[in-house]
Amino acid sequence: MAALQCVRSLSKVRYNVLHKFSAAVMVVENKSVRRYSTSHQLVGKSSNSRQHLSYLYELYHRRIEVGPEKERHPSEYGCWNHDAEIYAFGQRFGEDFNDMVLKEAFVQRCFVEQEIEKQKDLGLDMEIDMTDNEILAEKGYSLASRFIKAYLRYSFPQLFEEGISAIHDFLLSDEMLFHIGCNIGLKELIQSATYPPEHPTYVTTLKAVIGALIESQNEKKAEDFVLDLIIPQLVGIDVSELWNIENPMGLLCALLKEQNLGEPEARLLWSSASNTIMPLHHVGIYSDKKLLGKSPGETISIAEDMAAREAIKKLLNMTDNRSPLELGDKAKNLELDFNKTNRSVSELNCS
Amino acid sequence: MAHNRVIQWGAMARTWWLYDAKFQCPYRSAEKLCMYLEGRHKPLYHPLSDVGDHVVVINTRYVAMAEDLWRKQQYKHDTRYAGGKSSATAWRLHEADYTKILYKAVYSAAPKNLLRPTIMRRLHLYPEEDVPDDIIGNVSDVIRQIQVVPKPLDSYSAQEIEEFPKLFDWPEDHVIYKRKATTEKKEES
Amino acid sequence: MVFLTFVRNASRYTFRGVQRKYVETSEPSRLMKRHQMKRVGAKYYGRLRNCWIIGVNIMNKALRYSTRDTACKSEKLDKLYSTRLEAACLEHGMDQKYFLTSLAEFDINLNRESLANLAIYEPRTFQTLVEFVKKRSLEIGLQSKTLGAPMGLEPRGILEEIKKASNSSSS
Repeated sequence: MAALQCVRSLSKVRYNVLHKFSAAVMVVENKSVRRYSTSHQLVGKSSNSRQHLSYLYELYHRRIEVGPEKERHPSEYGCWNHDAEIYAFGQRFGEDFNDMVLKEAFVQRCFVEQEIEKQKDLGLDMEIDMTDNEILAEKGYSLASRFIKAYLRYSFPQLFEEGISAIHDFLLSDEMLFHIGCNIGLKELIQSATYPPEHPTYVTTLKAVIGALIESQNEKKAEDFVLDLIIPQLVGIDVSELWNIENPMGLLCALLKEQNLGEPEARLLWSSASNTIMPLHHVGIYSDKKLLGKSPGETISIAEDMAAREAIKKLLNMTDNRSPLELGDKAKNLELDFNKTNRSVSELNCS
Repeated sequence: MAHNRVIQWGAMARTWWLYDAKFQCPYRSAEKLCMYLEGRHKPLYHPLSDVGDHVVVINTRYVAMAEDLWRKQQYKHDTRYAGGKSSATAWRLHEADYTKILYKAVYSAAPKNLLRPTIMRRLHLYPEEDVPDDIIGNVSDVIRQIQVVPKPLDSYSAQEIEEFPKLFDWPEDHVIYKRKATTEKKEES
Repeated sequence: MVFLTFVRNASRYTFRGVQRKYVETSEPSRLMKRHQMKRVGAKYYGRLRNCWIIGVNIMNKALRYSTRDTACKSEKLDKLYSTRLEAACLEHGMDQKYFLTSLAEFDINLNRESLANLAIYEPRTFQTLVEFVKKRSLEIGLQSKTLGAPMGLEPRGILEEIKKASNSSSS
């Protein structure tokens, strides 16, 4: 009897362990199964640690062969209340969203199409009461764009329009919006045909959330949302590097001429290791015997170019020691002029 | 655009320094030169990274030694063969090569690790003031000397010596012992 | 022996007993322990890595070394920060000891590490601190400490002479 009990318990252990990894074994091709055919005999055969170790090795290699598990939406695990999650999303920002509108902001076009096809497959002729978020996204984008440009014109009044639009493009680029969308927890809320959602869907959803805020409350609230989420991305970034000036020396000449200052004069301040392959030249730009900007460079022409950029930065009040951007509660009541535009470089050259 | 890149280039570039070794103690100079060669004068220094500068030293022929170190300081060498040990006093070594004393001083002051050969290659020693054009063209700055260069008595004119303020003058009948010049002795013998 | 504890605790679970269940034991499995030590010996070459009896002593010694050297890691870093700060002070012709004591007197509580990092990443901020100390010492009347010239402001007469000489000889 004792021997019989032992055999039973053995088979029980074998069954349990194999059951756990049955999914893994099924995916593996026939060849691999044959290769590992002896391994299941190790399971529970004895308490010898050497055999247990080789069993663990076996499992480890099988896991590698099968590969990582597919990423699944939390709803597939059974505990998911979409309405509650969307309500919580709004509450996390301290905003009063209209739940229906906010729900709409997360619905992608591909999701609606998928739902319609599902119904067709089932043979139902019911109309689906679902609209995608594209209209909201358009609304949100136009508001964000308008507000960001006005804010930048207010913060950098002397910067040219080209520079303003370069910073604006940086803030509203797909990568930047994707980065923001990733970090405010859009991933699980987005309703799209695929999971995890593709990168462009994050971008449209973030825009649509801004649009939903306009619909549920007002434009002022949506602007504050943009001010709190998108504009702080400029912190720690060299704003003047975002705008690539093509001909800095020409622009500097025109700027100085406009301000009735003398023509720029580049002088070599000092150079080191000039006969080696890693030379260093410091060039300063003077106007009326006053130093406007200086910069190092590996050749004299590069250093001159960079020094001209420094001089332009100084003339446009964009130096590194300027006061920081106004953000947070301070910036809530700024008097922004939405109709004002800064002058462009072409205007300067004409005059 | 890319202005930060050139700032980085400027921060990491190697500067070339000039040091005048005229009437300077080689051992104390070596400590100062090592600071520049290792890069310990830069805030971004790290002992494992090679961030040192180049140093061009001129007038190594005229280094000055304290007390009678020229005679007493021994420089030893061993060929690792039987009877291969030899030693030379500082003045003999200096006669053989005018840059050797300072080279050895810097070599022993440098960190004793695998960076030492690299550091030594950045030291350029010249016995006189004539430095090749391609070397001196790189130099951009000067390291301050550690000692004040004394002005020799020969360089004072007779008028300057006469005008030098005196506290008192010896009376005419005062006899001052004067050692005879060595050249005169030789002539006599 | 910080590192040995993780090796010892690597596997305290083995198959024991009639019912063939995982049982927590006081001693880890011998083989599991060896398996974990492979991580330590991975950097060695040949039989030092592959044979247990040959490699075990050297692996234990390596763990002992690393435990010992973590103790003096902070000392080494302190030394590095001190060297860096000295260099940063030298750039502005300031004495490090005087700089630190003055900052402490004026209730600017920054240690060597943060000052050295400021000197690297925010040189202008560091410069303002040095200038503040210089001004304060002038107000108090201790000028002698601030008289050192900043680095790179040595008289360059000799350099110009030599360059002139080399230019005249070449032309």
